[in-house]
Amino acid sequence: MVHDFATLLFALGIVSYALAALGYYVALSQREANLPLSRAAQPALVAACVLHAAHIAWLSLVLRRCPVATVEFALSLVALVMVGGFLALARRSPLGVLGVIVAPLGLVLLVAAEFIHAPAEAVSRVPAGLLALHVTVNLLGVGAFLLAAIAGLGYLVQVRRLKTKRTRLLGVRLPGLNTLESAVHRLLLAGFAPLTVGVMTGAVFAHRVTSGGPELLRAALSYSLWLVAGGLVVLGRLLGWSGRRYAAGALVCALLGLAIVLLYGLSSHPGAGG
Amino acid sequence: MILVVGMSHRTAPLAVRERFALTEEARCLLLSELQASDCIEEVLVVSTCNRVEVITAVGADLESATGDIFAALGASGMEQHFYVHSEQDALRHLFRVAASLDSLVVGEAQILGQLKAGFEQARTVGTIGPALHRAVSRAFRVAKRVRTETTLGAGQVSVPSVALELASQIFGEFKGCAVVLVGSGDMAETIARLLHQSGAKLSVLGRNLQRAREVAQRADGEGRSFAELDAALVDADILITSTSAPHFVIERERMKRALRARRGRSLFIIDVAVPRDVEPSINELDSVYLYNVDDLSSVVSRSLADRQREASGAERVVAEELLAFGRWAEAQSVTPVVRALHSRVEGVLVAELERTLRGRLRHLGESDRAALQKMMEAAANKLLHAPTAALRRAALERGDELDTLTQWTGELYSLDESADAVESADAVDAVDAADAVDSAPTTALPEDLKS
Repeated sequence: MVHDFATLLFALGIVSYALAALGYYVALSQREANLPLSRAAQPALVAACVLHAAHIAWLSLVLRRCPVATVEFALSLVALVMVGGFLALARRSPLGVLGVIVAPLGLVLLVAAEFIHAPAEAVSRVPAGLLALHVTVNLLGVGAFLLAAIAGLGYLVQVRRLKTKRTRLLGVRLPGLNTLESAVHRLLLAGFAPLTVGVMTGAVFAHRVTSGGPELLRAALSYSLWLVAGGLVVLGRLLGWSGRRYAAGALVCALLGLAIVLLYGLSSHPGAGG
Repeated sequence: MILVVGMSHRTAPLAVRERFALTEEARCLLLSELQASDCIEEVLVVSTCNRVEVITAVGADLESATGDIFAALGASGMEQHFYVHSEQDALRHLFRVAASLDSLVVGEAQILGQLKAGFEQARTVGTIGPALHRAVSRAFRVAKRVRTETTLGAGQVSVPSVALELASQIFGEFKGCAVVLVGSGDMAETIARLLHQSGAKLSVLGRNLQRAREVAQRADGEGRSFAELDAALVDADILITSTSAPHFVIERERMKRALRARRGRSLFIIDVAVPRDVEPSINELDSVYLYNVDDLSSVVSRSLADRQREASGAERVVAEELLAFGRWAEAQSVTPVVRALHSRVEGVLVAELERTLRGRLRHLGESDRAALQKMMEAAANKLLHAPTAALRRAALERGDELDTLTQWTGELYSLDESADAVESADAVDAVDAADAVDSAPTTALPEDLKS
């Protein structure tokens, strides 16, 4: 009964975080704060924060787990502080757009704290389809970043042609700069969504990274990719970045994505890497 | 034989060309006058700002025909400004003109329209016959091939059109784009008007508000005070400057301030003022693309150079078509013999069939008679296919064999005796249907002209 209540708080916390992440994403991608999902983002994050706090409190006070005794549990506490701090900050500044990173990160740390040293029986209760979903959405994200990189490369070539005034009116003609910039931005956003789902679902498999090796490197690269992509879409929106930065960022994302896929291939076929 | 007498920007200065420029009525009169000449069989006149050409089909007396043309043009004593081309050279010239290879701006599209207009006018007056019809139709075909197989006509070759093209490489389309014109001037106003016609919103800024409003009104835009320049720099997608200020109107620092408020949006600046209105180092700023008159002119020059390079591909098309036309014309030399052969054979068959149908087979019904007639026609065509092909082949190969074959065909089938007696429209149609080469009726408009 005592454990069931902790699990309930944990599950509700995940749902609230996921809802908040979705709301912030819709607000960012639609540039519209009045959509129902966008309006629900902040209340959902507040609810997630409360449930997260209740979860930590329940584990500490009732189950007598010390919040700072283990690294993973401390991470959960850090996530709570981060989310709480963001909520306090977002009330008085236009930083609400950062919720698109903060909400999924809160969820990831909450789940990772639960699973990083979870006993085998807890891991075995994870639905089998979750791993397939995790891999699929990650590949979708990387695919979108590759397309964004192609559009970004076209953008950079076109910028160079126009800046150096070497543009030619005959021969291969690229789409307009604005079209390419819009494509890069949309594809980055499109890739960020499945990658966020991938990051959130990946937290369940956090126990795998404790062994180190390629799994740890792949996880580190995956989170870096997610943060770079998130940083691009968020900072671009906050600071009004030009297409050149988006294009360069898209190239970085594509390279990171390819490295992750390569590492996955090597770890799946250890002999292939020599 | 085709004969071309004309003058163009290559042979005559503008002062001479303008003396020979012809109005539509003058062209009609010239056509009628030349048609009356004994030496000229068919005639077509083309008159543009860069050329006046009389394209004719003539008999063997080239010299007299040329003299008649000069006389009709009133060009006696000014022959040094004219060129005269005949036979292959005339065809090559006609094809090159149609393909815009002989134009002042190589690749421009107007000349083809002017040639079509000249052809249509001559057709209406009735001075086009089979020779010019075939030659001009082939010229239209050359122009079409050059347009589709090369990029000779692509690219822009004027400063306003280049400015528009560059803007489209940044914004794609102009619908909703904010165009700000600072100052006034013919070129700047032309660019602004072109952009506005493509869907952009236009504002005109001037130190004299009344003058700015007048300029704006001409292009259906909005006049604003020069004091709004900073706000305009934030709003604009395309900025055209053309003031008479002796110093920079838009300095780097001013632009940097505007860029902070623009949040990364691209800005295309066209500075057509001399001295320049926009500090050149602004082009180094992110998202700003600055082109002055020299930049635009150099793009125009490169575009023209690109066209010249493409011209070699177009020349290849002209050479191919010239060769194909020559082969076709050679093949046409045996057409009278082939027609006589078909007439002879079909005449005999028809006569025999009619006799039989009046006699032993008179009981046959209409459908049986029609079937029998079709069978006879099919048999005749199959029997005549081999000799027809041999004659055509001999004509294409231009060997001595052609004369022998023609002679033997005439003797074997008694063509001299029968040609006048049995030739009929049906027989001619049968030959035309069997021909692989173009044999459109001379009164019809060529397909290229229709399109």
